Amino acid sequence: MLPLNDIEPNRFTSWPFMTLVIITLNVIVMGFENLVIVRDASQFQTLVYEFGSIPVVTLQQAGSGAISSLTYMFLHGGIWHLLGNMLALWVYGRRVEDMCGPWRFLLFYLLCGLFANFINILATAQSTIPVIGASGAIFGVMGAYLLLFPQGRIRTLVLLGVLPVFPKIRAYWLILYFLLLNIPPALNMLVYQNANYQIAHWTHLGGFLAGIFVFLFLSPEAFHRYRNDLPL
Amino acid sequence: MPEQLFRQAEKLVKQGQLEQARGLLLRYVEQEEENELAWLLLSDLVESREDKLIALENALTINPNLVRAQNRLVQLRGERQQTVAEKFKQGETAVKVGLRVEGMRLLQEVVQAEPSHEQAWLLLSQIVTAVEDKIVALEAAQRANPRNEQTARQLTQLRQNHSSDLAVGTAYEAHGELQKALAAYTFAAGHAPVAADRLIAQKKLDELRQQLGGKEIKTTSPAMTLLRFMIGPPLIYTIFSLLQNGLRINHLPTRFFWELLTVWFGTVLFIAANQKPNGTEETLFDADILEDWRLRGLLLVLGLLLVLVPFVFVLWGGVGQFFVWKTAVFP
Repeated sequence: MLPLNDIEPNRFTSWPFMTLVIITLNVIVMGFENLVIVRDASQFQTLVYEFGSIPVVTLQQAGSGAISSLTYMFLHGGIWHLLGNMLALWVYGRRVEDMCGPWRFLLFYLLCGLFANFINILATAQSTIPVIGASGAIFGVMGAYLLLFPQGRIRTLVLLGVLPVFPKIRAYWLILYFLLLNIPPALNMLVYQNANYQIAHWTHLGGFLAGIFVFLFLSPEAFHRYRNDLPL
Repeated sequence: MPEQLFRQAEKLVKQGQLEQARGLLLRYVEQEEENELAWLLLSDLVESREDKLIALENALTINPNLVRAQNRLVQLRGERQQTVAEKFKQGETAVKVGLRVEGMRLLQEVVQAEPSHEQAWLLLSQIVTAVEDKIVALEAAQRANPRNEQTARQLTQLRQNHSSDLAVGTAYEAHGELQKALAAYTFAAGHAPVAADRLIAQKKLDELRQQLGGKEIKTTSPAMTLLRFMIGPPLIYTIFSLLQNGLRINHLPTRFFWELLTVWFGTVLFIAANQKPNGTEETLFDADILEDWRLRGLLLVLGLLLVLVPFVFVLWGGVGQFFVWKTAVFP
């Protein structure tokens, strides 16, 4: 199941400037990563350890500390990792940015990424695996989307065997589906601290939780409409 | 000499060198304004419709019998009319579906192209927020059609009353903009300087709420907006600092609290300097300060600096820590 596009139009702006800037930045960083890999593949691993977020290192006040909490969300482990995240950012970010305005949206996005990392470090304190990817921040945007537009309709690619279909699915079904995918493995990680997971489920859940902060960044007009149950 | 320029321009047109010909003709008409043929030729060479119209109008002023210029002028005016009509329709639709910003942009383009477009001005007067803008739009609509009595009435009401929130509410109510009327009455009920006005505002507020059938529109005061916005950056700074200090509150240096205060103060300054004064909302700073772009710019820059400097401190600490760690782990 792959969300492709939010079919509802924007209300306040026609151009999701900051969403596109964030996507471009991530693509540029991916290009840089590929350059590093082409020159020396082992250097890529060093790069990930240096600029990814490693809970143990952060808790020991080593590494780049808070800087890695910013850099980790612009690094990706491969082209599919990047594509999946950027597609999700495009699908959910466009209208959330419309509600906040570009600069407040940027602050909200960074806050989600920081908070996601914060929760991940708390939950997987003994982990030595570096966490990279924008998914924590994007789950925050998804959380915000769920709060603002639960009835939003998302054009989604669903594979029925080999047959692709493109139904419009309500946002709450989609987001809750992705959220539920993360809960059992996250709980498992909490019980077995050394479990070797490829996905940072706690980062996702932390980011999702941070979605609630969107109310601190909504534009006055959008906030007024939300409070009065007027269509957003 | 000017005649030579004209002949040379004609020659260049025949050779297809239109850009050079346009340059020469522009120089020619600067020196010799009374040659209708030059204006006619220029109307073919300039690119924008507005420039073409000006050139043709000039040609016809000199010689009103130029049939080709007359025909071309009619055609161009028709095209412009059509574009304006299409844009107005798009703007109207955008406003109807709730795309206020887009609607405003399109309508502004309409009135720019045709300043006497009454309907566009009237629609603009409905969607702008500030009473002052409403007055400007209504004045333009009245200029376009001085016989529209409703416009004249609205304008008189707004002009008389726009300094008082109670009056602004009454004007909004009379125009059927009940949400805005509610906001203005709520503000007047709490803040009107005269006690009698506060009572009247409260009474009107109750009546309007009753009229809306219990569906009360909650208003948000600008102070509330300020409070909401001022939480974000300090929250980001707190999480950022905690991450830098290994998530231990007792590891936070004492200067953290001062820096947090600085971020908070900078945020307040930045947001307050960004507030837009209008008839119904109070602002932290006086309108004079907010309208003076130098003072406002200074406040914005100061606010931004106060927010950013503590972040730079934390980042700087992170960079130092990073190099110590990098040397130890990846020698």
